[in-house]
Amino acid sequence: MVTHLRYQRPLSFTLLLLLALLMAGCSATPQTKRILEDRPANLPAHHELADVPFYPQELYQCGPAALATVLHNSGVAVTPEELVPRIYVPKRQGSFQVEILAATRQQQRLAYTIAPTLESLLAAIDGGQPVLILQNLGLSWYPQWHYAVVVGYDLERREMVLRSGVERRYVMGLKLFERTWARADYWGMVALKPGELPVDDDGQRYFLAAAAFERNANPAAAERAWRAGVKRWAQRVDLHMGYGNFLYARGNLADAEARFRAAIALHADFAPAHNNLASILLETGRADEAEQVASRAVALGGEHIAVYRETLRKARAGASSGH
Amino acid sequence: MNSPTLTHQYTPRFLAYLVALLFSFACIQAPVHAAMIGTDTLVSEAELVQQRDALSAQLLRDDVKKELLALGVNPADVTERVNNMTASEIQQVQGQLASLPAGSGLGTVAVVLLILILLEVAGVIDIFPKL
Repeated sequence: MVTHLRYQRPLSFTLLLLLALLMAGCSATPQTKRILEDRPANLPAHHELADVPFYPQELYQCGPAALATVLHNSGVAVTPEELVPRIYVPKRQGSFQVEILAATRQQQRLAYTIAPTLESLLAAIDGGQPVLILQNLGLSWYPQWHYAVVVGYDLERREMVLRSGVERRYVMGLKLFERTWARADYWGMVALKPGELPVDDDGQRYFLAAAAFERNANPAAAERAWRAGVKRWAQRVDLHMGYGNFLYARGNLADAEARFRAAIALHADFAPAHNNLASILLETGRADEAEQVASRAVALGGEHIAVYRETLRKARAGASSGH
Repeated sequence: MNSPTLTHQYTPRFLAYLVALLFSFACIQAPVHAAMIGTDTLVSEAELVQQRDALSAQLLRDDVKKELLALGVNPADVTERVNNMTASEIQQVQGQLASLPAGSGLGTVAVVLLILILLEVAGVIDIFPKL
């Protein structure tokens, strides 16, 4: 049959090939299947954030429009026109994901990328946080990249509700949505006010968002972000370290010391915490204790052993001059 | 096996010396002034991004700046845009800007092409004669 098709009906064969390629593009929707069969107990069947504003996109400028939507919802009065010089790239006629994240932080909001799952996406909506997503509306070999904002869902009707393009309330089937979102690697971002927490329970994602935010944030805003994270994920060493380093850089050595001690209490073998604590002890005139703590960092070793050795050397010099 | 010189040079002992030498370079290049392990360092570990020194980070930033300028970004905006990216974001995009997804929405060209294909398949037009 195949031979027959190939040699006698080239048109049919081409069409079959095209169909096969198209089918490959519209493959399974595993996340839709999972969430419909086994909806998380605390997730309602439907929810819509009807008050999220809408900015219709100008030609090719869905990035500025979508970003203005989530920022405005988060209390930042910025228009798409004001965002164009920050995120639009003329010769690509579009916007890059990293610049969306960077511009969010520049507007004093944490850019938190959600976990790549429908569960995280719907949980964020249910928690009142609209999600800026990237979609590939075309095919993997003919991509049509598009940013939109998910503002609602209805699992009974199997629909998603988006602010998209020039449509204020664009309703999309759940399976089609998953296909377009999957082709963009399930990328989504929420804009968080400093001190506001994401809905999904991922302390490492929050740590990365807070560390990036700190670079250009005003100090009070950065402190709110770190404090909220440490309170929410009190068992995470990285958040205590990040907050401790922030406090240290602000000259608040007493509170920084408490963070590094908390990190050590959680993870006694984490050498960077011993090193940073030793530095504070030395700076606050406790060279003997600094020497003990720095020795511990050197004994634990690891990638930054040269730094630990230097801390120990300074602590020893301080200890001997103090006697 | 045909080259006795090569087999002689790459003995396990030679390789051990080589590895030891490389390690010694790594120690020499490590920072000796900083006494704190900063958050940026912890971030790069969390993201499994290879640590680079400050000089190469600045070079990467300059690369990305040039790429954005070549893609038509206004010179007055480009410095701030690049400075707003973190070191790991710069590493992710450097050299990739021509191919990275750039979300833009459905352009006119795409819509026209789609309509043409549909019309072709429906037998209304015949502008792709080989189909």
